[in-house]
Amino acid sequence: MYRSIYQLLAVIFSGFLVSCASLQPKPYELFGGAEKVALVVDYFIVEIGHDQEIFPFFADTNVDRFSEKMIEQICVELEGPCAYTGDTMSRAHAGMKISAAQFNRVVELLINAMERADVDTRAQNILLSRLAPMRQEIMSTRPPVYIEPEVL
Amino acid sequence: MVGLRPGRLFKACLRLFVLGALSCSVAWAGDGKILATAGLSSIEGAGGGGIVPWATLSGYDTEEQVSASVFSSHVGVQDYTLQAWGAAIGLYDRFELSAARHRFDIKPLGLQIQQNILGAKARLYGNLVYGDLPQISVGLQHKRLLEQDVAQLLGADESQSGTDYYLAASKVHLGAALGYNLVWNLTLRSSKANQLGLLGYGGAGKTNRDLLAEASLGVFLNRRLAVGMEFRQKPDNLGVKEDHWRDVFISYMPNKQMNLTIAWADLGNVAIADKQEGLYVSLTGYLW
Repeated sequence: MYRSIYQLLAVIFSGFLVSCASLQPKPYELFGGAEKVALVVDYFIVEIGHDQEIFPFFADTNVDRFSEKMIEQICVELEGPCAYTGDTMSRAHAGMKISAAQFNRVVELLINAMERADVDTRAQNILLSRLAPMRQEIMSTRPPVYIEPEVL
Repeated sequence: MVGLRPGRLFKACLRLFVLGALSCSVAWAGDGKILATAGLSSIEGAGGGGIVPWATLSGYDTEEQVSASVFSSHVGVQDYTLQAWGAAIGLYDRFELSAARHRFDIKPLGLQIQQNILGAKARLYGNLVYGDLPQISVGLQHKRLLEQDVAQLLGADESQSGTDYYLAASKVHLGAALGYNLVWNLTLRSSKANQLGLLGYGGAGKTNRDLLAEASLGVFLNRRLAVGMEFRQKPDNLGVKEDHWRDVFISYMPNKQMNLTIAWADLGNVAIADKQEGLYVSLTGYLW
């Protein structure tokens, strides 16, 4: 009898996994829209400011510009109505030699900011899943690639 | 190593861990992994789920850090209780060394069987969270029985010691379960062990190893809480109908200092006694 309960659980579990993702609201709305994104970035900056290990990486950062570009980036990654006008991730992090622990620490500061801003866990996960593939570019210590400037 | 009995070695290891516990925050303390990605402590001491060793390494160490953890687990079913406790060291998110002691009580007979397990695991490839491919590790578990009478009585091929080898793959998929994080693990184990080795290794006329499949599947409800289920295929070397193991679990990982897991374990037929089910409780403490 218990065996059938386990089988039932397995069926529910797999059903859970293959359920139609299109029933979900758009990530940007689930996250909480423009206001929530701005709030998360605000909290994230506070988190960085209070972290002795991470703050030195941002010591020379222009906070207003950082805030503006990060809001754009999060909005774009959540399929919101924005365009990203900031630097590529490899340029923004060039020469920083970020360790695995430091990278994870920043991820946790962003999670702290999202938790504090009361962002839905699923929306948090969607954002993290879109940012995670940037890890290689952010942590890369390869020599820089020169791109011809566009003529305006 | 000559002249050093395994039991004594085990005690020496534990003393080392207690000393370690006293020295608190160390510069190279293992705290670089993201919360919950160190996984749990499996019943045999390796980092894992509950009854399955995973590709994850116990401890929060990243590439330039080391970690140490201690754990205690308790399973109580109708006719038996199994208490497990031990410790693990994580080295540079690459290696894991573990030591564990099992105390198995056969309640109807008033018998007790103990065994020591020394484990080692190496991460071969990948990262639990980042990248498309899973984290892959190989490991071994060397088990030595302190009381061999029951294993001999049941006709085990080998009643002193045995070694399991395993290959494991684990992966977290961010937001993959309707927006919630999904984690899975698959383990292939080569083993002769009867009931984790507590009833010896192999059987009369059954001297070869079996390749056994073990699997776990879980979902994170939030940053600190996960629910899931596990399966562990078992051999039947002694001809006493050793059933596969299953459990459903809930794990709470409030911080990088501890985790608590409560599970309902279905061990099926264990040494003739049928329908063995009960509560599994496990606690891990991360020392540094």
